[in-house]
Amino acid sequence: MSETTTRAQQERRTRHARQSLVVAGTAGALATALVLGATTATSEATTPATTPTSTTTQQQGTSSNSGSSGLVAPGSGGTSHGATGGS
Amino acid sequence: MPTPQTYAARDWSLWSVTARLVVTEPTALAEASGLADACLAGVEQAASRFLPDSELSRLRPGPDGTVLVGPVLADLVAAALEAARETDGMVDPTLGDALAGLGYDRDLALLPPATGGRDVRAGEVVLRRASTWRSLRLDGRRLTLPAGVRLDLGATAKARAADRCAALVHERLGTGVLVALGGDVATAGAAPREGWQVTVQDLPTDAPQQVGLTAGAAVATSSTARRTWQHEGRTVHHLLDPRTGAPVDGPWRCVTVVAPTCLRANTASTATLALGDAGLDWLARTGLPARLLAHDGGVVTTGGWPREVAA
Repeated sequence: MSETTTRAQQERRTRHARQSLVVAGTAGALATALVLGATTATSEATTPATTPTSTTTQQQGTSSNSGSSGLVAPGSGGTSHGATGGS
Repeated sequence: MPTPQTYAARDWSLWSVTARLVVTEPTALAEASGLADACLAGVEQAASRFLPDSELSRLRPGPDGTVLVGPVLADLVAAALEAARETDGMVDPTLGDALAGLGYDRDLALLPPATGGRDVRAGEVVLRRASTWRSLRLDGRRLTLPAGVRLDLGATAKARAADRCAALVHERLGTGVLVALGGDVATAGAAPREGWQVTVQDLPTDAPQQVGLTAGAAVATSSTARRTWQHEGRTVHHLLDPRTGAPVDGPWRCVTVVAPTCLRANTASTATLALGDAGLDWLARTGLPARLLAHDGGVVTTGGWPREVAA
Protein backbone atom coordinates (compact mmCIF):
# COMPACT_ATOMS: atom_id res chain seq x y z
CA MET A 1 0.00 0.00 0.00
CA SER A 2 1.48 3.32 -1.01
CA GLU A 3 1.95 6.16 1.41
CA THR A 4 -0.42 8.29 -0.67
CA THR A 5 -3.15 5.69 -0.46
CA THR A 6 -2.67 5.33 3.26
CA ARG A 7 -2.90 9.07 3.73
CA ALA A 8 -6.07 9.27 1.67
CA GLN A 9 -7.67 6.51 3.70
CA GLN A 10 -6.73 8.25 6.89
CA GLU A 11 -8.21 11.53 5.76
CA ARG A 12 -11.42 9.76 4.76
CA ARG A 13 -11.62 8.21 8.21
CA THR A 14 -11.10 11.58 9.85
CA ARG A 15 -13.83 13.17 7.71
CA HIS A 16 -16.17 10.32 8.59
CA ALA A 17 -15.42 10.77 12.28
CA ARG A 18 -16.15 14.48 12.11
CA GLN A 19 -19.43 13.83 10.36
CA SER A 20 -20.33 11.33 13.07
CA LEU A 21 -19.63 13.97 15.67
CA VAL A 22 -22.67 15.97 14.68
CA VAL A 23 -24.87 13.18 15.97
CA ALA A 24 -22.59 11.94 18.71
CA GLY A 25 -21.91 15.34 20.18
CA THR A 26 -25.56 16.25 20.36
CA ALA A 27 -26.46 13.01 22.07
CA GLY A 28 -23.63 13.36 24.53
CA ALA A 29 -24.54 16.90 25.48
CA LEU A 30 -28.19 16.08 25.95
CA ALA A 31 -27.44 12.99 27.97
CA THR A 32 -24.97 14.42 30.37
CA ALA A 33 -25.43 18.19 30.54
CA LEU A 34 -21.79 18.54 31.33
CA VAL A 35 -21.28 21.80 29.53
CA LEU A 36 -20.17 24.45 31.94
CA GLY A 37 -20.85 28.14 31.58
CA ALA A 38 -19.61 30.37 28.84
CA THR A 39 -16.61 29.68 26.71
CA THR A 40 -13.49 31.36 27.96
CA ALA A 41 -10.96 28.67 27.14
CA THR A 42 -7.47 29.98 26.90
CA SER A 43 -4.42 28.21 25.68
CA GLU A 44 -1.19 28.34 27.58
CA ALA A 45 1.97 26.54 26.63
CA THR A 46 2.90 24.71 29.77
CA THR A 47 5.64 22.18 30.10
CA PRO A 48 5.79 20.48 33.48
CA ALA A 49 8.62 21.97 35.48
CA THR A 50 11.41 19.69 36.53
CA THR A 51 12.43 21.51 39.66
CA PRO A 52 12.28 19.21 42.69
CA THR A 53 9.97 21.29 44.83
CA SER A 54 8.34 24.67 44.51
CA THR A 55 5.72 26.72 46.26
CA THR A 56 3.72 29.16 44.19
CA THR A 57 1.45 31.99 45.18
CA GLN A 58 -1.21 32.67 42.61
CA GLN A 59 -3.95 35.22 42.27
CA GLN A 60 -7.13 33.32 41.63
CA GLY A 61 -9.83 35.10 39.73
CA THR A 62 -13.54 34.50 39.52
CA SER A 63 -14.53 30.88 39.52
CA SER A 64 -15.59 29.65 36.10
CA ASN A 65 -17.39 26.57 37.31
CA SER A 66 -19.37 27.55 40.38
CA GLY A 67 -22.90 26.32 40.47
CA SER A 68 -22.31 23.46 38.11
CA SER A 69 -22.19 19.75 38.67
CA GLY A 70 -19.96 19.12 35.67
CA LEU A 71 -16.51 17.63 35.61
CA VAL A 72 -14.68 20.02 33.32
CA ALA A 73 -14.85 23.68 32.41
CA PRO A 74 -12.96 26.01 30.15
CA GLY A 75 -9.55 26.89 31.47
CA SER A 76 -9.14 30.07 33.47
CA GLY A 77 -6.04 31.17 31.65
CA GLY A 78 -4.17 31.19 34.94
CA THR A 79 -1.26 29.04 35.94
CA SER A 80 -1.66 25.41 35.00
CA HIS A 81 -1.45 22.99 37.93
CA GLY A 82 -0.57 20.02 35.77
CA ALA A 83 -0.54 18.60 32.30
CA THR A 84 -2.00 15.58 30.62
CA GLY A 85 0.25 14.58 27.80
CA GLY A 86 -0.03 11.39 25.92
CA SER A 87 1.12 8.21 27.60
CA MET B 1 -9.75 42.05 45.09
CA PRO B 2 -9.01 38.46 44.14
CA THR B 3 -8.29 36.08 46.96
CA PRO B 4 -4.70 34.86 47.01
CA GLN B 5 -4.55 31.14 46.43
CA THR B 6 -1.51 29.15 47.34
CA TYR B 7 -0.47 25.68 46.46
CA ALA B 8 2.72 23.69 46.50
CA ALA B 9 4.01 21.29 43.89
CA ARG B 10 6.68 18.69 43.37
CA ASP B 11 7.82 17.23 40.03
CA TRP B 12 9.90 14.16 39.48
CA SER B 13 10.55 11.40 36.94
CA LEU B 14 8.82 8.07 37.38
CA TRP B 15 8.05 5.16 35.07
CA SER B 16 9.45 7.04 32.05
CA VAL B 17 7.05 9.94 32.57
CA THR B 18 7.00 13.17 34.55
CA ALA B 19 5.10 12.82 37.80
CA ARG B 20 3.62 15.82 39.60
CA LEU B 21 2.08 16.22 43.02
CA VAL B 22 0.14 19.39 43.87
CA VAL B 23 -1.44 20.16 47.23
CA THR B 24 -3.65 23.09 48.17
CA GLU B 25 -2.11 23.21 51.66
CA PRO B 26 1.56 24.05 51.03
CA THR B 27 2.64 22.92 54.49
CA ALA B 28 1.40 19.42 53.65
CA LEU B 29 3.71 18.94 50.68
CA ALA B 30 6.51 17.10 52.45
CA GLU B 31 4.22 14.63 54.14
CA ALA B 32 2.15 14.25 50.98
CA SER B 33 5.31 13.47 49.03
CA GLY B 34 6.18 10.70 51.45
CA LEU B 35 2.72 9.21 51.14
CA ALA B 36 2.80 9.45 47.36
CA ASP B 37 6.24 7.87 47.11
CA ALA B 38 5.19 4.97 49.31
CA CYS B 39 1.94 4.48 47.42
CA LEU B 40 3.59 4.50 44.01
CA ALA B 41 6.44 2.27 45.15
CA GLY B 42 3.84 -0.19 46.36
CA VAL B 43 2.15 -0.18 42.97
CA GLU B 44 5.45 -0.74 41.17
CA GLN B 45 6.48 -3.55 43.49
CA ALA B 46 3.13 -5.21 42.96
CA ALA B 47 2.58 -4.80 39.22
CA SER B 48 5.77 -4.00 37.33
CA ARG B 49 6.55 -6.24 34.38
CA PHE B 50 10.13 -5.03 34.45
CA LEU B 51 11.16 -5.67 38.05
CA PRO B 52 12.20 -9.32 38.33
CA ASP B 53 11.22 -9.37 41.99
CA SER B 54 7.83 -7.67 41.61
CA GLU B 55 4.84 -9.65 42.75
CA LEU B 56 3.57 -9.81 39.18
CA SER B 57 6.88 -11.19 37.88
CA ARG B 58 6.90 -13.84 40.59
CA LEU B 59 3.30 -14.99 40.17
CA ARG B 60 3.20 -18.78 40.13
CA PRO B 61 -0.31 -20.23 40.29
CA GLY B 62 -0.67 -23.54 42.07
CA PRO B 63 -1.93 -26.81 40.57
CA ASP B 64 -5.49 -25.48 40.76
CA GLY B 65 -4.52 -22.50 38.60
CA THR B 66 -5.01 -19.97 41.38
CA VAL B 67 -2.70 -17.84 43.48
CA LEU B 68 -3.28 -15.59 46.49
CA VAL B 69 -2.13 -12.06 45.65
CA GLY B 70 -1.42 -9.09 47.88
CA PRO B 71 -3.98 -6.34 48.42
CA VAL B 72 -2.36 -3.87 46.06
CA LEU B 73 -2.06 -6.33 43.19
CA ALA B 74 -5.59 -7.54 43.84
CA ASP B 75 -6.82 -3.96 43.58
CA LEU B 76 -4.91 -3.40 40.33
CA VAL B 77 -6.16 -6.65 38.79
CA ALA B 78 -9.70 -5.74 39.83
CA ALA B 79 -9.26 -2.38 38.10
CA ALA B 80 -7.98 -4.08 34.95
CA LEU B 81 -10.93 -6.46 34.89
CA GLU B 82 -13.33 -3.58 35.42
CA ALA B 83 -11.79 -1.85 32.41
CA ALA B 84 -12.05 -5.02 30.34
CA ARG B 85 -15.71 -5.49 31.23
CA GLU B 86 -16.57 -1.85 30.47
CA THR B 87 -14.93 -2.07 27.05
CA ASP B 88 -15.89 -5.63 26.17
CA GLY B 89 -12.23 -6.55 26.08
CA MET B 90 -10.84 -3.62 24.11
CA VAL B 91 -8.70 -2.90 27.15
CA ASP B 92 -7.30 -6.31 27.99
CA PRO B 93 -4.74 -7.12 30.70
CA THR B 94 -3.59 -10.36 29.06
CA LEU B 95 -1.41 -8.74 26.41
CA GLY B 96 1.86 -9.07 28.30
CA ASP B 97 3.32 -11.59 25.87
CA ALA B 98 2.13 -9.59 22.87
CA LEU B 99 3.94 -6.49 24.13
CA ALA B 100 7.06 -8.46 24.96
CA GLY B 101 6.94 -9.98 21.48
CA LEU B 102 7.11 -6.47 20.06
CA GLY B 103 10.18 -5.77 22.14
CA TYR B 104 8.54 -4.00 25.08
CA ASP B 105 10.06 -6.26 27.68
CA ARG B 106 11.97 -3.69 29.72
CA ASP B 107 11.65 -0.09 30.80
CA LEU B 108 10.91 2.20 27.88
CA ALA B 109 14.07 4.19 28.52
CA LEU B 110 16.08 1.07 27.75
CA LEU B 111 14.42 0.39 24.38
CA PRO B 112 15.90 1.63 21.10
CA PRO B 113 14.26 4.97 20.32
CA ALA B 114 11.95 5.21 17.33
CA THR B 115 13.92 6.40 14.35
CA GLY B 116 11.20 6.31 11.74
CA GLY B 117 10.20 3.76 9.20
CA ARG B 118 6.83 2.24 8.62
CA ASP B 119 4.70 1.34 11.64
CA VAL B 120 3.96 -2.26 12.46
CA ARG B 121 0.43 -3.03 11.29
CA ALA B 122 -2.25 -5.62 11.84
CA GLY B 123 -1.49 -8.81 10.01
CA GLU B 124 2.22 -8.30 10.40
CA VAL B 125 2.45 -9.69 13.89
CA VAL B 126 1.44 -12.98 15.41
CA LEU B 127 -0.83 -12.40 18.38
CA ARG B 128 0.96 -13.91 21.35
CA ARG B 129 -1.67 -14.52 23.94
CA ALA B 130 -2.64 -17.73 25.70
CA SER B 131 -6.10 -16.47 26.56
CA THR B 132 -8.18 -13.33 27.03
CA TRP B 133 -9.32 -11.39 30.07
CA ARG B 134 -12.38 -13.62 30.29
CA SER B 135 -10.17 -16.44 31.52
CA LEU B 136 -9.13 -14.41 34.57
CA ARG B 137 -11.05 -14.55 37.81
CA LEU B 138 -10.54 -12.66 41.02
CA ASP B 139 -12.29 -13.84 44.18
CA GLY B 140 -11.23 -11.48 46.91
CA ARG B 141 -7.45 -11.81 46.69
CA ARG B 142 -7.45 -15.19 44.99
CA LEU B 143 -6.56 -14.85 41.33
CA THR B 144 -7.23 -17.53 38.75
CA LEU B 145 -4.53 -17.19 36.12
CA PRO B 146 -4.51 -19.76 33.30
CA ALA B 147 -1.16 -21.26 32.35
CA GLY B 148 0.73 -19.19 29.83
CA VAL B 149 -1.11 -15.94 30.48
CA ARG B 150 1.25 -13.06 31.11
CA LEU B 151 -0.42 -10.01 32.54
CA ASP B 152 0.29 -6.44 31.55
CA LEU B 153 -1.57 -4.05 33.82
CA GLY B 154 0.08 -0.98 32.37
CA ALA B 155 -2.99 0.44 30.68
CA THR B 156 -4.93 0.67 33.90
CA ALA B 157 -2.40 0.38 36.72
CA LYS B 158 -0.94 3.84 36.25
CA ALA B 159 -4.39 5.42 36.22
CA ARG B 160 -5.46 3.44 39.24
CA ALA B 161 -2.21 4.43 40.93
CA ALA B 162 -3.04 8.10 40.40
CA ASP B 163 -6.49 7.54 41.88
CA ARG B 164 -5.09 5.63 44.88
CA CYS B 165 -2.37 8.16 45.49
CA ALA B 166 -4.69 11.19 45.40
CA ALA B 167 -7.24 9.50 47.65
CA LEU B 168 -4.56 8.49 50.15
CA VAL B 169 -3.08 11.97 50.44
CA HIS B 170 -6.48 13.56 50.90
CA GLU B 171 -7.68 10.98 53.42
CA ARG B 172 -4.54 11.23 55.55
CA LEU B 173 -3.84 14.95 55.34
CA GLY B 174 -7.13 16.57 54.40
CA THR B 175 -5.54 18.73 51.73
CA GLY B 176 -6.82 19.09 48.21
CA VAL B 177 -4.48 17.17 45.93
CA LEU B 178 -3.70 16.56 42.28
CA VAL B 179 -1.55 13.64 41.19
CA ALA B 180 -0.33 13.52 37.58
CA LEU B 181 1.51 10.51 36.21
CA GLY B 182 2.25 11.36 32.62
CA GLY B 183 -1.10 11.37 30.90
CA ASP B 184 -3.05 10.28 33.97
CA VAL B 185 -4.29 13.00 36.33
CA ALA B 186 -6.39 12.34 39.44
CA THR B 187 -7.63 14.77 42.08
CA ALA B 188 -9.15 14.46 45.54
CA GLY B 189 -10.44 16.86 48.13
CA ALA B 190 -11.03 20.53 47.57
CA ALA B 191 -9.91 22.11 44.32
CA PRO B 192 -8.44 25.57 44.00
CA ARG B 193 -11.15 28.20 43.60
CA GLU B 194 -11.08 28.14 39.81
CA GLY B 195 -10.74 24.38 39.61
CA TRP B 196 -7.67 22.33 38.84
CA GLN B 197 -6.15 23.91 35.77
CA VAL B 198 -4.77 21.23 33.45
CA THR B 199 -3.00 21.72 30.16
CA VAL B 200 -3.93 19.19 27.49
CA GLN B 201 -1.12 18.68 25.03
CA ASP B 202 0.22 15.52 23.41
CA LEU B 203 3.42 16.53 21.65
CA PRO B 204 5.30 19.77 22.29
CA THR B 205 4.47 20.85 18.76
CA ASP B 206 0.70 20.51 19.34
CA ALA B 207 -1.43 23.50 20.27
CA PRO B 208 -2.24 23.18 23.97
CA GLN B 209 -5.65 23.66 25.53
CA GLN B 210 -6.19 24.50 29.17
CA VAL B 211 -9.25 23.15 30.98
CA GLY B 212 -10.48 23.34 34.55
CA LEU B 213 -11.34 20.14 36.41
CA THR B 214 -13.82 20.32 39.26
CA ALA B 215 -12.92 18.83 42.62
CA GLY B 216 -12.55 15.07 42.42
CA ALA B 217 -12.56 14.88 38.63
CA ALA B 218 -9.84 13.11 36.66
CA VAL B 219 -8.45 13.25 33.15
CA ALA B 220 -6.41 10.83 31.09
CA THR B 221 -4.72 11.03 27.72
CA SER B 222 -3.73 8.07 25.60
CA SER B 223 -1.49 8.59 22.61
CA THR B 224 0.04 6.59 19.83
CA ALA B 225 2.82 9.16 19.50
CA ARG B 226 4.29 8.61 22.95
CA ARG B 227 5.96 5.48 24.24
CA THR B 228 7.32 4.49 20.88
CA TRP B 229 10.40 2.45 20.07
CA GLN B 230 12.13 0.72 17.19
CA HIS B 231 11.63 -3.01 16.69
CA GLU B 232 12.99 -4.99 13.74
CA GLY B 233 13.20 -1.89 11.57
CA ARG B 234 9.68 -0.71 12.37
CA THR B 235 8.23 1.94 14.64
CA VAL B 236 6.10 0.50 17.41
CA HIS B 237 3.90 2.14 20.06
CA HIS B 238 2.52 0.54 23.18
CA LEU B 239 -1.23 0.66 22.56
CA LEU B 240 -2.22 -2.69 21.12
CA ASP B 241 -5.47 -3.75 19.53
CA PRO B 242 -6.45 -6.84 21.54
CA ARG B 243 -8.08 -8.30 18.43
CA THR B 244 -4.86 -8.37 16.41
CA GLY B 245 -2.00 -7.88 18.82
CA ALA B 246 -0.69 -5.08 16.59
CA PRO B 247 -0.35 -1.43 17.60
CA VAL B 248 -3.66 0.35 17.01
CA ASP B 249 -3.96 2.03 13.64
CA GLY B 250 -7.07 4.21 13.59
CA PRO B 251 -7.92 7.78 12.72
CA TRP B 252 -6.88 9.19 16.12
CA ARG B 253 -3.41 9.94 17.35
CA CYS B 254 -4.39 11.02 20.83
CA VAL B 255 -7.53 10.89 22.96
CA THR B 256 -8.18 12.79 26.21
CA VAL B 257 -11.12 11.92 28.45
CA VAL B 258 -12.46 13.46 31.68
CA ALA B 259 -14.25 11.17 34.13
CA PRO B 260 -15.02 10.82 37.84
CA THR B 261 -11.96 8.57 38.22
CA CYS B 262 -8.68 8.38 36.36
CA LEU B 263 -9.21 4.66 35.86
CA ARG B 264 -12.43 5.30 34.00
CA ALA B 265 -10.89 8.15 32.01
CA ASN B 266 -7.91 6.04 30.98
CA THR B 267 -10.11 3.07 30.16
CA ALA B 268 -12.18 5.23 27.83
CA SER B 269 -9.23 6.93 26.15
CA THR B 270 -7.42 3.65 25.58
CA ALA B 271 -10.51 1.85 24.28
CA THR B 272 -11.33 4.69 21.91
CA LEU B 273 -7.94 4.37 20.25
CA ALA B 274 -8.18 0.58 20.16
CA LEU B 275 -11.61 0.69 18.52
CA GLY B 276 -10.26 2.69 15.59
CA ASP B 277 -13.01 3.95 13.31
CA ALA B 278 -15.68 2.87 15.79
CA GLY B 279 -14.02 4.66 18.68
CA LEU B 280 -15.78 8.00 18.48
CA ASP B 281 -19.28 6.55 18.44
CA TRP B 282 -18.43 4.29 21.39
CA LEU B 283 -16.93 7.15 23.32
CA ALA B 284 -19.88 9.44 22.64
CA ARG B 285 -22.21 6.82 24.09
CA THR B 286 -20.35 6.98 27.40
CA GLY B 287 -21.26 10.66 27.67
CA LEU B 288 -17.81 11.49 29.00
CA PRO B 289 -16.25 14.79 27.96
CA ALA B 290 -13.46 14.04 25.52
CA ARG B 291 -11.08 15.56 22.99
CA LEU B 292 -9.80 13.51 20.07
CA LEU B 293 -6.82 14.56 18.01
CA ALA B 294 -6.57 13.08 14.52
CA HIS B 295 -3.34 12.20 12.76
CA ASP B 296 -3.81 15.18 10.47
CA GLY B 297 -4.06 17.56 13.43
CA GLY B 298 -7.84 17.93 13.36
CA VAL B 299 -9.59 18.08 16.73
CA VAL B 300 -13.00 16.58 17.51
CA THR B 301 -14.72 16.93 20.87
CA THR B 302 -17.68 15.20 22.43
CA GLY B 303 -19.62 14.92 25.70
CA GLY B 304 -19.49 18.61 26.53
CA TRP B 305 -15.75 19.13 26.26
CA PRO B 306 -15.10 22.87 26.66
CA ARG B 307 -14.89 24.83 23.47
CA GLU B 308 -11.41 25.64 22.31
CA VAL B 309 -10.71 29.28 21.61
CA ALA B 310 -7.70 30.30 19.61
CA ALA B 311 -5.19 32.20 21.68
